[in-house]
Amino acid sequence: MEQTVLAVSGLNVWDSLTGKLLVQDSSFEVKRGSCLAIIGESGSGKSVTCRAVMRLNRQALRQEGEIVLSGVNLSSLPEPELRKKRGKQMCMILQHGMRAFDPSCVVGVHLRETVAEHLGLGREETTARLKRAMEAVLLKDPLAVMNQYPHQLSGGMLQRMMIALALVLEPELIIADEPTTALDAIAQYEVLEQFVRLRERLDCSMLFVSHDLGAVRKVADELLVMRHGEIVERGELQELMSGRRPVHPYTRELIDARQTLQRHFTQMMGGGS
Amino acid sequence: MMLKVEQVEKSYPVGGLFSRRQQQVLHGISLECGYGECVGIIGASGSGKSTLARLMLGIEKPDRGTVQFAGREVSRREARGGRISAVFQDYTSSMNPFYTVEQVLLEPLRYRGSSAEARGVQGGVTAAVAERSDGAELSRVGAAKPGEGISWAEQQPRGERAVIRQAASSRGEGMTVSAGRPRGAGGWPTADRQAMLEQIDSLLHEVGLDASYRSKYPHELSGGQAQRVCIARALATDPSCIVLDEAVSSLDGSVQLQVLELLKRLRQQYGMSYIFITHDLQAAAYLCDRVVIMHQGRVEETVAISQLRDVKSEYAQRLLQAVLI
Amino acid sequence: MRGWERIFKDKLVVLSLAIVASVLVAGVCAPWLAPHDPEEVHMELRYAGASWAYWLGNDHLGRCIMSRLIYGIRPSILWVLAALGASVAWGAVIGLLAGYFRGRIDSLLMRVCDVVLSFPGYVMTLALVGILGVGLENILLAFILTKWAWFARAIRTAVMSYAEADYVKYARTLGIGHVQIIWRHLVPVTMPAIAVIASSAFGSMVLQMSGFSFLGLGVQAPQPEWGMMLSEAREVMFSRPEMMLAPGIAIMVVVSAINFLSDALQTALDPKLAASRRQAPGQPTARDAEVRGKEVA
Repeated sequence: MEQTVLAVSGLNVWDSLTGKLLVQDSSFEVKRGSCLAIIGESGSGKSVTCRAVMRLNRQALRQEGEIVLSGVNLSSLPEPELRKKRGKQMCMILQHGMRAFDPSCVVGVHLRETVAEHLGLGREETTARLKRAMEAVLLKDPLAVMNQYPHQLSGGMLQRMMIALALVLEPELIIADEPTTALDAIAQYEVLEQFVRLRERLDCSMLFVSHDLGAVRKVADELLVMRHGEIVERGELQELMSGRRPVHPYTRELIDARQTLQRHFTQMMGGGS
Repeated sequence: MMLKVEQVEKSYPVGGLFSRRQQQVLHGISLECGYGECVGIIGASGSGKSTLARLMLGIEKPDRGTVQFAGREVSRREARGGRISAVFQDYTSSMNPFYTVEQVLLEPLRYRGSSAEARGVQGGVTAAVAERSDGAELSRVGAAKPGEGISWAEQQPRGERAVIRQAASSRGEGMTVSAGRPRGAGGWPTADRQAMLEQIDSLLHEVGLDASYRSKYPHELSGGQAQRVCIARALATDPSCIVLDEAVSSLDGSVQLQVLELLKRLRQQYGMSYIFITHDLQAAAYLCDRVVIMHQGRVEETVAISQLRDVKSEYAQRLLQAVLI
Repeated sequence: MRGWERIFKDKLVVLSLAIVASVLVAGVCAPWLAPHDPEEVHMELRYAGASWAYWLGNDHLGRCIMSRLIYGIRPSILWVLAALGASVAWGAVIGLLAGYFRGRIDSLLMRVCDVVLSFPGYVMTLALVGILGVGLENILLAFILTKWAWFARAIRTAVMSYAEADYVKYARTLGIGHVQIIWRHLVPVTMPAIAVIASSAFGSMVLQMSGFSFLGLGVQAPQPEWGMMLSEAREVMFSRPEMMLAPGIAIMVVVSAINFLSDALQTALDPKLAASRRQAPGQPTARDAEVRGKEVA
């Protein structure tokens, strides 16, 4: 029997200033060892959902609904306890690597502090583990990289550092909020490779949010399609993409858009004179 | 050749007032783009493509080398005259937040009107160019004599000009078709606000938006809508070439495809060329005839789209590999 | 502008606006508003309290306090406003040039600003007054000469965030000249920042002017001015404390009103804050704008 790492039911998120409902009655599950992708366009509520799971939305956004992480109900947990869970059991990887790190100190400080907070290891042990993790994500010369400021590193490198941090912390659930959107094609490819390897090494569950179907195809097992705050489609990724079963028209639109470009490209590569 | 970039180098000073250090961004880039052609420039962040875009648009001068548009140095404003236009990546900062869509579109129209006189309208399109392959219609109008008020070509409707340009380029003759709908010998009258508003409506219609968008502010538009307005703005000066600097990279999946289709349709209709700068090879393959692959300020390889699988350089192959997601 | 409708909903802002506006108008119309000649001496009425003829009483020379208060608006508020305007205008020019052109021009202008800013404000003003002599004009001149650098720096920061925007790049592509771009695109966009910076400095400049006059370095007797009135009241601080009330309260009320207004101005003039009150912040109105189904996205 597969265990469920994350179970969200009846999640509603609304803006208390304007009364607008941002996420409407969302319910979904992430099974242990599986990766759930949430696809949607800007404004569909996918990032809000992610942050709601960790209760990290800004003050004005209120939420209600049950969020159960490995049997513990997060929605009723007091803040100090929730803080302990964030990072250790749930790790978040954000869209803009540069904004995720403190711009006024070198990245090594941030990494060491986080590891020290959750794992309580000594300085040498922390550095050794970080070094190993960074080598695993193919960052050359980890110690030098740790002494750089965020603005000196490229987007792809910063994302890989977040993945390295996740490798060290070994969380149960990794929430990735549009991690490859701000990257160019090659960096995107490399970071997605790292995500795949991360899953293999840790056997953790993942919640992967994106607007790009191409990116999630590599990493995800299951798919959730959101539109205007509602979930319009859910199912196995392969099944949905293959067209074996009928899908919601919006999903069809997204898949077609993706495949049009892809087909054209393949034609150029394979066919043509 | 419409646009010719020859061995350009560009570096920026780093450090303060008295520092001499320079960081070189472009090392000897050369490329060409003919009338009606669509050239893609592919490169990762840091490859110098945005700098190249600025040089091609003439808003910066290269340290060495030349950039020529229609035979003249592009950094001189008169040479451009709205014939080379641009659409940028960040739709949130592409329009002045205080301007409505109407005011955004009025800017190029007003400029076009006031500069039509300054540019002078050029005549002298020869009869040879005027023949279409089927020998029909065009030749009956005949050629304008050199020095005449308005180029004969301009009297043709927009779509026809595309054909003429293609004919001209295939014969290897450059053509300077100035922008502006001719009205007598003076060019676009700036005082005619009503006419400009009509023009705005027609531009919005071209890009798939209706007239109700005129009074909207930029922050009220979604990504796709904002980029459409930017494309309408780029079209307003009737350009021969539009530089698209990562124009679709910030858009979501299906919106991206819609904007690419719009660009494709506009190109077929008006025959202008595109310089499509992106990091996404798939999008470039959809729109372009030819791609130039850049890496760290140098041109790695130039390849026609149909021959994409035959790329030789290592970086290009990595790019190809990255696409097959 | 759309912002004004919202301003008028906030009661505090309306009150502040009313106070500042009425003070400015009163200052301009002083000759018609003041009940008596502010410099007319009536020794028999020294320290008289409030009466029907003299609403706020008389000072140590029997002059009408009310009239002096009204006439005092001119040097205390109106002339300071003029000096502020000149200083901000000059600072804005330098700030716009530095922020737009960047590079070496920016470095040069900012080094000049640094030199000017390295002189402490009050000390500089005192020094200038010492060289040029006392008087309202010299203090105003000193204000202009010392304060422009601060405005230039603050405005440059605001300009820099907008000068790299794509719409400026587009205008350059079209071939529009630098001056036109600065005027049409950068000035409107940095106007909110300029207005906020200027209005926040206004309050402190009024206080400084009053301070210098209190010290006897500004307006000279018998010309009325609020700081000077406070100085005159200081001598009888313990025997007749009520003399301090009129000018003191006037200064406090007006400077507070100016500060409140400055905050309100910031909200009113920001276009992004304008729309965000109508819809959820950060959420695009794509939902509302589905014009043609799939065709428009």
